[in-house]
Amino acid sequence: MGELLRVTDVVKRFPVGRGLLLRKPTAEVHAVDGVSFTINSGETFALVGESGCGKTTTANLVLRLLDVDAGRIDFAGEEITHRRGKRLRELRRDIQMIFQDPVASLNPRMTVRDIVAEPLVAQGRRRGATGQVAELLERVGLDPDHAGRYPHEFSGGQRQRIGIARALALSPKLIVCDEPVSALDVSMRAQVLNLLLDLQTDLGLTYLFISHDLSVVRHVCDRVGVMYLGKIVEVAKREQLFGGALHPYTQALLSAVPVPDPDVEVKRRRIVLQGEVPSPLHPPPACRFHTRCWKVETICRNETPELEVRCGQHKASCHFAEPRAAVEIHA
Amino acid sequence: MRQTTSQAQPTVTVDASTAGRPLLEVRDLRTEYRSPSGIVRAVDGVSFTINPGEVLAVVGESGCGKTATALSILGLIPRHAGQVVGGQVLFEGEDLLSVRAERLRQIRGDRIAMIFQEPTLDPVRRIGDQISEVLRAHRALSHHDAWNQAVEFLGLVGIPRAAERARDYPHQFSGGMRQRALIAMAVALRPDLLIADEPTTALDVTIQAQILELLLEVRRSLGMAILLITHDLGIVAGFAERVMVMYGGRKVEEAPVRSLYRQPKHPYTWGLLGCTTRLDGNRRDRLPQITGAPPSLISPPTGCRFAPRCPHAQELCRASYPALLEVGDRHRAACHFAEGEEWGSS
Amino acid sequence: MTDIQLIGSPMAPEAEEVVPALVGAERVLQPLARRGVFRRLMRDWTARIGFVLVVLLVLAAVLAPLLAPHEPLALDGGSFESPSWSHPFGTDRLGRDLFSRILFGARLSLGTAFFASLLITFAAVFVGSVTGFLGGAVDSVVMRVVDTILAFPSLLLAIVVAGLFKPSLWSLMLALASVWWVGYARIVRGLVLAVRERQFVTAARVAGGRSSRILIRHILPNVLPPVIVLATLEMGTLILAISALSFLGLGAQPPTPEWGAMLNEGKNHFFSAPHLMLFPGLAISAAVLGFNLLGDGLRDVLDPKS
Repeated sequence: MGELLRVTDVVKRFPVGRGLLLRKPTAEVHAVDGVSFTINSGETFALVGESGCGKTTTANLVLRLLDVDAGRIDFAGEEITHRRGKRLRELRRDIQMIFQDPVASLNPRMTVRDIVAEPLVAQGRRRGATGQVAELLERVGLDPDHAGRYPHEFSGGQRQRIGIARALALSPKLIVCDEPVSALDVSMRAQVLNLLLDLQTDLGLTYLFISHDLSVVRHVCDRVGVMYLGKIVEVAKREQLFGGALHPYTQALLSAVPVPDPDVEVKRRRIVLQGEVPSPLHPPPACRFHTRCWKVETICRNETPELEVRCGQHKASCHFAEPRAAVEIHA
Repeated sequence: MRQTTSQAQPTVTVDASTAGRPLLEVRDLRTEYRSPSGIVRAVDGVSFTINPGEVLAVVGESGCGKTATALSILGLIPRHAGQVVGGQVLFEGEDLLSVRAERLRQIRGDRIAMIFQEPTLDPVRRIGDQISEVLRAHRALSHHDAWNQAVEFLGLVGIPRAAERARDYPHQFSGGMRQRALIAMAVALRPDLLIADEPTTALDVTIQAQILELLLEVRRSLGMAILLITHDLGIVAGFAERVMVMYGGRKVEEAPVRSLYRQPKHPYTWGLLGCTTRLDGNRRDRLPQITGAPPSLISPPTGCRFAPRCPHAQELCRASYPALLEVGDRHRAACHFAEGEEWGSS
Repeated sequence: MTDIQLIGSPMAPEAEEVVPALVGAERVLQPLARRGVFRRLMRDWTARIGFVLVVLLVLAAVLAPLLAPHEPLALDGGSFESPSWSHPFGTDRLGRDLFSRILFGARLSLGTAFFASLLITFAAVFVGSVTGFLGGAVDSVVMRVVDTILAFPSLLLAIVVAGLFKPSLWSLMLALASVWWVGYARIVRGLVLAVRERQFVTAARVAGGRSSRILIRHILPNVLPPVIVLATLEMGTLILAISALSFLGLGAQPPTPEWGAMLNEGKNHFFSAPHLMLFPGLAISAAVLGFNLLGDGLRDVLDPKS
């Protein structure tokens, strides 16, 4: 399997606040600060982190909904960092997106048929669109006879299927899934995750999967990148990450995810992080996690740890990286 | 920072005089909402009890009636939206559904407090003022004393430099700190029952862990009972002593937390546990799933509400609604086939 | 972490393409028709009253030549006659039938307000949506112009503009429109900014839609319903403004049977013949009330959440 997407040292900052007259930003949010990763064809790569870590901004940079401030993005061997206009619209055929909110992402004043056909029409493939829409709806488990209905007539899970059908319309190579199940009820969640897995098997899709929920990530991903305050702090294959996370932040994140088993919860050794994520306006110097880390030493405050290979393809940026299981149980 | 170990559930010693008498007893509660397409039977004959100092979790998906149940207990169903149409809510023997509005206001906040998913604070008033106002509404306190108590409770819920931060406005607090402030406001009057409606759903997972630990800590020090309303079976496992599962406006199963997770007797509970994503256990590529979607509560299916989605449903299930059966120690399930059947291992 | 306001949300890279003229109105309005708006509107009794009032006035305007018992300009009665069977609303100083004048006045008052409203809405939707959608320098410049115009009291400014021309209903309409559109444009721009940030617009961009398509197909259909509500509510205000300016002698000139002008003619005989002010005043009130009730009803019905 070849490399499909390569993101190299991308940076994105947002200006914050401004004077009344001169539109001069008073500060900048360091939303994404030197993020690099690659995704191979046919795999699922997850970006995980809490709100404000920059995972969604990274997704928007890959989708070219936002322009990078620095860095470079390559897709299928071609640089796409600065594509615009017609060339950018062509790129949309290959990179599609599934949204978090199945209500907000569907235009309430359009029928399902029009919503799913939207990418086809936008790309000038109006001919045969109706037939294709029926196929797509069937593919995601919806009744094609319901194509004339409006989104509000469907349940949350069904609406998410409509969004998935829309994303499939152009037969893309890469689909960016931005928290695709976090707005859904538990029973709907499993249905949609299974659908995403089936589609990947059938169509050979590649996913960039954005999520805050490590238990969801564990079910669908091949490789995982963990983000904290605009940087990737750890990248690993799924088994490596859940078997023995190296970065203290990843460990804390894993440890905070509840396990639906009272016996495990009682015996579990838990790390409860103190304090909250610092403001991305003024991220801490050197290691960004040092203000909340229990392993912190002087070096963490002075020297930025590199995202280095520790073993196999397992990378972590910590001066004191040591493996810890996702669910550690008292002996 | 700190490494802690989750404690085994603390046992609260119950005063001998009140032993055996539940703190709250809900009997056959029925609540309806009005909607353009008809009457929604949001809560349809739900009964349960909470003992003093106990943690009961109500679990279910959106639209199962769990929030409507909580709002009904406190008489908080907005008049234009719907109303409680039947049943009793006995709080220490007093029916909250038939007391006068003034009496209900006294109980609300003072004896029973509630926290919501979205931190609901007045954006234009100082945090400290908002907490002291709650205190002064129920206690004869001077402004000064109320403020001091507010600061004390902010400290208790882990707000650093509480005396200083009490002067802040809500927007100066992060989401997690706002939820802490709300907990301070809710427990400042030392209520006997705290109703927490999805208290961590809007929060990040590391903050969620902090808030859950805080709630248990506060409960330990003040000895109140908690009614936790959530959709997350993961949170319940480490938090509650007893669990009640709701589906389609009804209680489908109720059990001590351990037996619910070990031997779920209702196919819905079993399916819910099966399709919950988890960090441990064997990774399965495909999750077991419950097909279909929850029923409409405007014209719910006759018979068992879960029958249309249930893999084990038979004629009987579609014809008559199953009564709650005793299937184990304090373990009840509303399924015709709950006794003896094993739906599979969880 | 403190809350952070992100500003200057960078415009889409696709936005370099210029937005062409607004076309395809039928596509934009189509979803409105499909959702049973009228049926739901009729469920609310205040909206029903508003609707009936507006329909009656429109019918009066359209059918004025058939309904009117007399020519509006004909001097065929005694002066200052009180209401009677032959002159239901009485006659004015020159013996003209007041009822007929009010019927024909409906044409002028409603018509002027309607065309002014149309002009205003078009200008506002065009300017507001283009500036809101494109953002950047165009937006800043246009919005500063708008702010400047908004800084003057609009009625006063309309009087000044109307004073530049020979007084007539046409010049009055243009004067009102030229002043009134700015407030609307600001509102439309705000609506566009809000809709632009909604996720389905991002979805349309991901689909590869051109900016013009996104604006027409996705943003405008979600902006127009509130604009229609606003335009309906504002019809009442416009009718009042037109009457007021005509009353001041800036609009319709005698003997034109415009309601405001009729009020003006009647004011000198208020004590001897109060019906000269009463009936035109009632007509104005009925129109304003009708449009306000209808607008309120539309607001409730057109809300997508309903």
